[in-house]
Amino acid sequence: MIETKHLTKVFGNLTAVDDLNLFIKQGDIFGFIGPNGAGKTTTMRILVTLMEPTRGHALIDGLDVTRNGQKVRRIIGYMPDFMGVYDDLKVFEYLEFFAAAFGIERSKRKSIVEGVLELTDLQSKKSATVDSLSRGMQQRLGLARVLIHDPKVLILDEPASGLDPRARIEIRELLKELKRMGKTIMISSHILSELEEICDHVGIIEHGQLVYSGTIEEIRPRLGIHTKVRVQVLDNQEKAIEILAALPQISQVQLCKNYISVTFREGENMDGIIARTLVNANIDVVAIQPEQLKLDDAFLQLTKGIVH
Amino acid sequence: MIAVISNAIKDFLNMEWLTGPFLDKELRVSSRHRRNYLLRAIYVLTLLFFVAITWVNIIENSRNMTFQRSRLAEMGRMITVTIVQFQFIATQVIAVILFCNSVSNEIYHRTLGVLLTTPVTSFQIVMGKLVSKLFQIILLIAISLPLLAIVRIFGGVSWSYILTSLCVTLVAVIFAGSLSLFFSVVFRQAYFVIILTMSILGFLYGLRNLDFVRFSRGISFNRYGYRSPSFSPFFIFEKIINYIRSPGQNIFNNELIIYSSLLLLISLILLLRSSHLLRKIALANAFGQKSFWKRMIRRIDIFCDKLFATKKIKPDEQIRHVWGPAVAWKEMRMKFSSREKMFVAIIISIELIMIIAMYLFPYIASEYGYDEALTLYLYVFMGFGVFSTVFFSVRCITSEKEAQTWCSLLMTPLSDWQIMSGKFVGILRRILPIWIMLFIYFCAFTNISGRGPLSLFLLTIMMIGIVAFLYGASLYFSSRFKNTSNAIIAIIILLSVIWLVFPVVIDSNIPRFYAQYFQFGPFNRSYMIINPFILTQTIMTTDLYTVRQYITWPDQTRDYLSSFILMTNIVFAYLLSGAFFAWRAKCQFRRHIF
Repeated sequence: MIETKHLTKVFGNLTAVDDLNLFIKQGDIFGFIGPNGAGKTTTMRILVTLMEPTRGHALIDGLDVTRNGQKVRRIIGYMPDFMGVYDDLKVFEYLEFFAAAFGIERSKRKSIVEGVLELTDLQSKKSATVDSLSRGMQQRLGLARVLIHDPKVLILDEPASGLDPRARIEIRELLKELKRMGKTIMISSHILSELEEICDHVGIIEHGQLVYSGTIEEIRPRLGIHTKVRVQVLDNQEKAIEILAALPQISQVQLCKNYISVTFREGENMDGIIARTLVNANIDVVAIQPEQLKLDDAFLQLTKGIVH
Repeated sequence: MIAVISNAIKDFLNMEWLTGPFLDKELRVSSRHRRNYLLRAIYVLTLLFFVAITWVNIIENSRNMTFQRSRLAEMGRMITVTIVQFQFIATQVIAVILFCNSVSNEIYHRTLGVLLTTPVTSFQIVMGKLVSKLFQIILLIAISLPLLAIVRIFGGVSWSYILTSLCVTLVAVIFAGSLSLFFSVVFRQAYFVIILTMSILGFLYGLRNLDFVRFSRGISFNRYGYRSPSFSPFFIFEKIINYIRSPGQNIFNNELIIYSSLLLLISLILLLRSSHLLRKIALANAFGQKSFWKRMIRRIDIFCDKLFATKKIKPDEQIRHVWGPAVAWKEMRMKFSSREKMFVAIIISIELIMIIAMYLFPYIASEYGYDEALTLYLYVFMGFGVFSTVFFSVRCITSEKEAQTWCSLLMTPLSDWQIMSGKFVGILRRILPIWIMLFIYFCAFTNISGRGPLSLFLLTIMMIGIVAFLYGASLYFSSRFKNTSNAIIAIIILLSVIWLVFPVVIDSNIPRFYAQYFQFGPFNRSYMIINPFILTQTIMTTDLYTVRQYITWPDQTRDYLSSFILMTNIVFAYLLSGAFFAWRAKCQFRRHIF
């Protein structure tokens, strides 16, 4: 659905996007991650026809964004990182204005606007002027605006930035709902842990280059990060550590507060061995939990001086 | 002891006691900005251009070599006057532009609050801004000194005259800068500060001939001389120019000192008031307190609402559904901002006051001559029309860019032409009252029956042509620049060049001078007729009632038919230029979004 081929954007001496190749399947949620100035927003602006690439191509639903600007605009919805609003208009009028701008028939506009208001839970605010809305409400209004013409593709540039935790959770739930509706979503964010829950694929970009692209599950082996488990025992922690450290499959055993952190050797993952060994040694096991690799950790490892 | 004294002298000379760390900072930063070098280059080139015009005019008017040599002193005087006049005007304009965002930028970037938490006083902040930018202007004034020194060789002008004129220019620059700085504290939008300061300076320029003493006695304006003191700062400058033109008088007189002191005193009051307001406004921005000016604007807003009888939108008011083209609907639906309302209200009030004044004080017309007074009024009305068209058109895209709504609009499938036409509807809504006032004035007060229906037709098509041109040109700059201030400066420069500088050049002997070497065709003053004010004057001062009538244009006399064709050609040229600019604007729409 979204594809970039050797996409490059140069501003004077700065290469903001450098030979970027991306592919996002239909119906996927793609998390676009990178530090500030990595080139995320520039890539998105090229994809939504607001900027022309210096080299390379960007395709949306098979349409080249530089050649088919008008057609592309009809199938995408773009929400910028900071969205301005027309202060004097009311919420309903604001959405109806964009419905008219997208050429939706007058007879259908009202029901469509009501529909997106319901989806974004803004029905109670439809008569309020846009400038009276809180930041969270304005972000939701922004999402309502990009949905007004029922686009196949949504490109959202840090939609949760500046929002309080409740509003972030609401936006996340809304995105899950949109995924269920079959939308292809490309989303950038600094709140990486939020993307972890909703994204099918992630792309990590630094200095305009893609340093990783794939599923979250694929990151772990790609980085060579060994699996860790947390083991909680009722008592005899020292004895448990001694027994576990003697196992050949385990590379490291550490005591952390009230649990034992166990790291397996590469390619090894045998939770059952731990349970069996400890029970045979008359040690009561309370819990064995896998320690998940967080997206934040992956982000730090992948972007830490890999590309210069 | 010596070390203490030398340190005290050093401390005094580095001016930190007056300007805080700002002078040092600005001196470091200014050398890094390319625009400062560009400004100096343009300044020197423009100065040389005007000197060249004067030079060519003089030698063209006195072909005989012996005669030319005998008039070297006069030549020196004329070139000196040109340089001094240019400096006086250019440095004030530059001062207004340089100071227009000096404090508002700090507010915009939210650095003012941080500054006010340091031991730097508000007065130091204001003086730091003033002195640091004054240095740049002093540098521009200094650039012309070698040229003035060369001209001095011709004789005719003593150094005392030149130095006095430079001092007066500096005083005027301090005044203009203080005024701009003061408004920069009060208003955030730089373009608004430029317009307001320029309007006040223009008003003061217009007052330079106004005889307040006689006027207060209910007698009349005085258009011939300065029989009693004037309160305009430009008055001193005119005196100096007269001194240079007719040397031999003592230039150091009490009048000069009094006026300069008065201007400096007003500047000081403005600066003190600015520093007083600075802290209040910073606090207002930080904690949401409403400042005096915001309260004032709010009151004006309420007054304008009553004046235009616009209803405030209540939360429960019925929603208005979109009909017709989306952008046009939005432009019609959006309320006038308080600033827009104030702008239109002030213009219409001034126009009404002028009309009432004409009939309450008939000696205004009798002093100027009835027709001349009507033409002058028409100039003012026309000026307001032009000004408002530029003001509203130039903001139509930059305001969207500043509010970050432009990319949302561009992300819709609306074509660029649809957006442009929608914007035009919004601008028409705003400017129509002002142009209608001109039209009503022309129909009701200028004896239209005596001038014939053709005059009305010509005025109408001229207005259409000018509005189309101004809209196109303003739209181009609006799409080209990211902020309104730069766009306004650009359109002012364009209009000044087309309507002011080119006619001056064409009217000079330069084209003829070069034509004799390059075999050009004959030049005449036909270029003057494209100036809308000249066109208005032509329409106004001609009896167009009879078809056989000959009409006097600035370049020559034409018959009825030729005049009609010429006028329609000019209007067509304006329409074409407007369309060209609009097309260029369309090409820029998606190029300078962020």
